[in-house]
Amino acid sequence: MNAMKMPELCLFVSRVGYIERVDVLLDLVSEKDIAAASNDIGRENVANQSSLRRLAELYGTINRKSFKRVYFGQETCERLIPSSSDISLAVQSSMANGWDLTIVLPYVAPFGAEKIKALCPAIIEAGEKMGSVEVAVQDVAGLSIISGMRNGKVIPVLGRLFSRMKRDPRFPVDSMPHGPEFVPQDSVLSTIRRTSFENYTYVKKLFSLGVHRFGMDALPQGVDTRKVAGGMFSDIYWPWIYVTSGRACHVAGITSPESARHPVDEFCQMECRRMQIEVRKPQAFYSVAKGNAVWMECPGIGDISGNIDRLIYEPYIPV
Amino acid sequence: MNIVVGINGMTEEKDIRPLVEAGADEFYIGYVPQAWSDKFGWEICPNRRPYKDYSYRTFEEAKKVCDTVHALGKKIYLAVNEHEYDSDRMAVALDILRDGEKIGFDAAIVSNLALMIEARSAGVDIPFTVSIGGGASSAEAIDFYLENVPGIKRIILPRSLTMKEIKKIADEAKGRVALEAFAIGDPCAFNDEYCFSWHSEGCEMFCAFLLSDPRFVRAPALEGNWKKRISSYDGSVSEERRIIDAAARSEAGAFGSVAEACDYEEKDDRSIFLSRVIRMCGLCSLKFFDEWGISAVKVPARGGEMRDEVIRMVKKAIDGGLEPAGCRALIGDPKFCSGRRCYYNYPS
Repeated sequence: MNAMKMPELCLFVSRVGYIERVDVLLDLVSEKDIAAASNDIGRENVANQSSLRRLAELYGTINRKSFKRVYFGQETCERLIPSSSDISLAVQSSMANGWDLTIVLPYVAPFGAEKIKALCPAIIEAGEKMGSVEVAVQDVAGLSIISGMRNGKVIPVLGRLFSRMKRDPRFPVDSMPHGPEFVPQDSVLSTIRRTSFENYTYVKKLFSLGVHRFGMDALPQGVDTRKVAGGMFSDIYWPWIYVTSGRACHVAGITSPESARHPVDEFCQMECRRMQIEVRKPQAFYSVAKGNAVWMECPGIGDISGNIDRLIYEPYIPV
Repeated sequence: MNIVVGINGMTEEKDIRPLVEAGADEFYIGYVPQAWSDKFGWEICPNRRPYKDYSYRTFEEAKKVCDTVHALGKKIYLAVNEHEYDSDRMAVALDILRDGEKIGFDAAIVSNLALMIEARSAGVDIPFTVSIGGGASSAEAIDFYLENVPGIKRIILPRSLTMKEIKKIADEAKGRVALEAFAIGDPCAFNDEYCFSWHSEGCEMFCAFLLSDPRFVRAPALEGNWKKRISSYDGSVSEERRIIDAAARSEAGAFGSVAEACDYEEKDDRSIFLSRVIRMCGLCSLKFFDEWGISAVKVPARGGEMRDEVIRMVKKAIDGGLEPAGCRALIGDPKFCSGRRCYYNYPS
C-alpha cells in the first residue's frame, strides 16, 4: 500500500450473529488443518484465513480491538435489510466493544424503500445512543430517505455500489484482445481506477446532502483517489469485491419452479445463507454467486493510490 | 403510448423510414467522437455499448441522423449513459452533450448523477431522460432526481421491476414526470444499473461467461463453528450438508437456464423469429402500461435484425389494447408464452 498512514480498520458483517461471535470470525487456525480440509471447508472459509493472515502482516495481531468501527447490514437484497431488533443488538454489541457503527442498506425497489422508512426510528435511536451513527446507502432512494431525515446524529455515507467503477473477475485488462483503436493501456487503466467523486459540483451537491464519504472496492486494476474532491473521504472494501446482481435471485432460483426464475413478487427461502454457486475458471479471479449477487475474491489489497482512510474488512461475503 | 427504438451507427436514412412506418415514434443513438476514442480507446464507451458500429462517430453523422428523424416528424435522443465519469471522462462527456444540444437532439439519456449535476452547472440545458442505469426503482428515487436535477422530462424504469412495482411507481409519479418501460427483448439476468462487469465487444458478456460451464453449487462444509471442528475433521460430511448438496447439485444444471436460451423449439422461420429476435415477450403488459399512464415502451438494443417486425407487433398490441389471449394469438405459439420467455411472469 502506498499511503504513509494505514487506513483505519473496520469490520463488515451482514448478520447480527457474526457481531456477537466476532472472535470466531477473526480466529486463525493452523495452516496445516486448512490445507488438509481446504476442499471441504469451501473457498470462502479459506479466504477468511488467508485474508486474516494478510491483514495481520499489515496491522499486526488481529482481534476485536483492532477495529474502530463495524459496518453492519447488506448491500444487494432488500429482503436482508436488518430489522429494528437487529439494529438494537448491533448497537449494544458495538457499544460493548467500543466500536462506532455504520448501518449498511441495500439498493431498493418500492418494498425495500418502505422497509427503510420503517427502520428510521431505530436508526435515530441508534444515533441517540451512540452519539452518532452512519448509514451506508447504495442508491438515490436510500440517500433521499436517510439524508431527508435531517438528523445530525444520522450521517449518510455512500456505499460501494454508488461508485460504479468497472469490476470484473476477468481483469487485468491486458488479458483482453485489443481492437484496432486500442490506445496505450495506461490511459484505459487510469480511467477505470477513478470515480465520479473527482467532479467538484457533484461533490458539493453531496456535501449539501450531508455526504462526505464514499465506498470503493479494492479493485484488481487498482483505485486512484488522488483527484477526489477535497473534503470527501473514501472507504475501501476487501477482500470480497462486488461485481453484479439481479432482482431474480439465482441461488433462490435453483430451488424455485422454472417459471419463477425471473423477477416475481414473492419467493425466497434464504437459500443465499445455505448455498452458493462457484465459478472456477482459470482466466478469472475466483467468483461466487451468493444470493442475488456475484462476488469475486481479490486476494491482494492491490495498488491503492491517494488517500483512503478506512479499510473495510469482510471476513465473509456480506450476505 | 409511444414506441422507442434504438438505432446503431450503421443505420442510414433509408433504414429509418421503414421503422417509422412500422410504428416507431422515437429513436435513440450513441455518438462517440474521436476526442473520446483518442483518450479512452474503444474499451471505454460513453454510452455503455463499446461495440464496433454501434455509435455514430462524427458530429456530421449524428446531425444527419437527427435531421432525418426530425424530417419524419419523430423524436430522437442521444444516449450518454455510462455508469461512471472521472474528471477526464466528464470533460469529454460534457462536450458530447453540448454537441447533442447544438445538433438538436430532443433529449439526452443519462444515468450518472454526477454527469447530470455537472452538465446543469456547466449550462448544458438539453432535457434529460434518466436511463435504466439511473436505478430509479422507486418513487423515492424518482423524487430524488426531480428535486436535485433540473430538466428531467422522462425516467426509464429498470427492467427488473415487477408489474406490481411498476403500477405503484406509475401511480406515484403521475403528472410529475413521464415514464418509459421495457416489455420486449432480452432482459439480462443482472440489473443494468448495478452491473459493473466489462460489457464490451472485446470479451464475452459476463453473464454468459458466468453461466457457462464449469460451475457447481455447493454449501460450505463444517458450517457454524468450523474453526473449532477443523482439527478433528475426518473428511466426513454432515447430514445437513449432504441434504443441501444433493438438492443443490441436482438443480445445478438448471442454473444456467436463468439467462440462457430455453428449450423453446425452433422448428420454422416463425419460431426462430420468436426465439432469437423477440427472445422475451411482455406484449400483454402493454395494455396495463397504457392504462397506468406509462408514456413509452422501448424496443431495446441498437440495430438488430427484423426490428420492423418487432415494432409492428408492439404497435398492434398497444393499439389493439390486447388482452393476454390476443397477445398469444399475435405470438401465434402457445408454448412461447409459458415459462421463461415471459418478460414479467404475467400470471396465466
